[in-house]
Amino acid sequence: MSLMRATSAVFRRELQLFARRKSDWANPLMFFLIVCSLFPFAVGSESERLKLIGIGVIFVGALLAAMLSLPRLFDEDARDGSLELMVTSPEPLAALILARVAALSLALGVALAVVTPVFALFYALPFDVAVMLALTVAMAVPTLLLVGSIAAALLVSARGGAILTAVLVLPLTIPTLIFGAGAALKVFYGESPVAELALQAAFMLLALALCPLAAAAALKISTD
Amino acid sequence: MRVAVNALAAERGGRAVFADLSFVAEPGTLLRVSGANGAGKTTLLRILAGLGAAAAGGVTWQRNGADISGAEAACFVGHANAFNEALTVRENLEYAAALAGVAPGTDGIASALTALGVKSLINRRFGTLSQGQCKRCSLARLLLDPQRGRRAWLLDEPFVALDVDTQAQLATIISAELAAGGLVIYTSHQSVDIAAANVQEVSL
Repeated sequence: MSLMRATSAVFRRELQLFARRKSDWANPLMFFLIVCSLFPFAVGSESERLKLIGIGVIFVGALLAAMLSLPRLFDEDARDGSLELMVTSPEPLAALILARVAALSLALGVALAVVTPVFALFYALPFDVAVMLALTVAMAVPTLLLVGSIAAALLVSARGGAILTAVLVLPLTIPTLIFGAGAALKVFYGESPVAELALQAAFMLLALALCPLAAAAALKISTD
Repeated sequence: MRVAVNALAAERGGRAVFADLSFVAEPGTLLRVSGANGAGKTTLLRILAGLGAAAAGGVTWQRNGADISGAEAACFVGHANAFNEALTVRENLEYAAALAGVAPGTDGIASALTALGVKSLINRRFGTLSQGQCKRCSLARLLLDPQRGRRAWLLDEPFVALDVDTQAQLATIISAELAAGGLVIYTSHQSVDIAAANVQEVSL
């Protein structure tokens, strides 16, 4: 009962903050827009070439945009002291972190997935490919945030933490990148994307099972 | 609430701050931790709250004879306010209460703020308050548990940034908590009179 109350409080607060501060969701979306719109200028307007790189560019752009939100998981709370409330809570820290990552994934995943089909227009991608891309982006965001929560917890208020987080987290998202972009490529070539989707879901579930525990341990170390 | 500290030692940055510290505080005790700057007062409070690890020795919290963890036993109010600036005072207090595992309800939050004289700020964003108002609102966290005396209060410089009237108000609140069988451990560089039957001092 009190666990439910604590996790739902964490979840609700994260969404409240997300809704109340426009920069929280506007910055990642603007970044995503800039990345996606720069490539066609650099590569040229030949539509076959654009279609082929488009899938990869959009997917990587979405991952990088989601990365930008990682510092806000714990850094701000560490500065104002509310991280201590979480660490000293009698409820399991891993559950609280999971609630927090879930709220951020929901908000950011939906936001990035909604704009993905629009950005797919820049690359003249067919509609069904764009929809598959939106789905895989929606699955990749929770995976990235779960893995990233470990690095964010380790590097709470560390100097140069943002860059180090990127260096630590992005290599670990390679599987989800391969299978996420792979699923969209399969649809592009008219084949079935089921295998890629299943593997991507498997990575998401693996991250779901392991990362909150690791992040809780990391957070205990770095707040000591 | 009773706490027993046994041969406690602490380090900060690999350097020993204090060692071989032992004391016992019974329910209803006002315990003042004194010492010069850097003596480890905040470090001690953080260890008691379960926020830091001790280099040696241990802390045992007991409620009605049963051992409990520091997280369940204590309510820590330190230098940082632990409030988010974008949220209102009420939202911040609701969050703190849910994480601490207490359910004060709307009335409980309102009465906690009333006790500290900041009821009118309940729907203000925390970021728009003054230093003193921030401090008073964050002290309201202590009163969220509807059952008085159930949690030990760990207060790190609670009188900083408070005006003289509010200092007296806080002293009264602390006295009431002690009378209800609470345990209050605090550090302070100001000398504020707190009425207490049982006073103890630990020097670092």
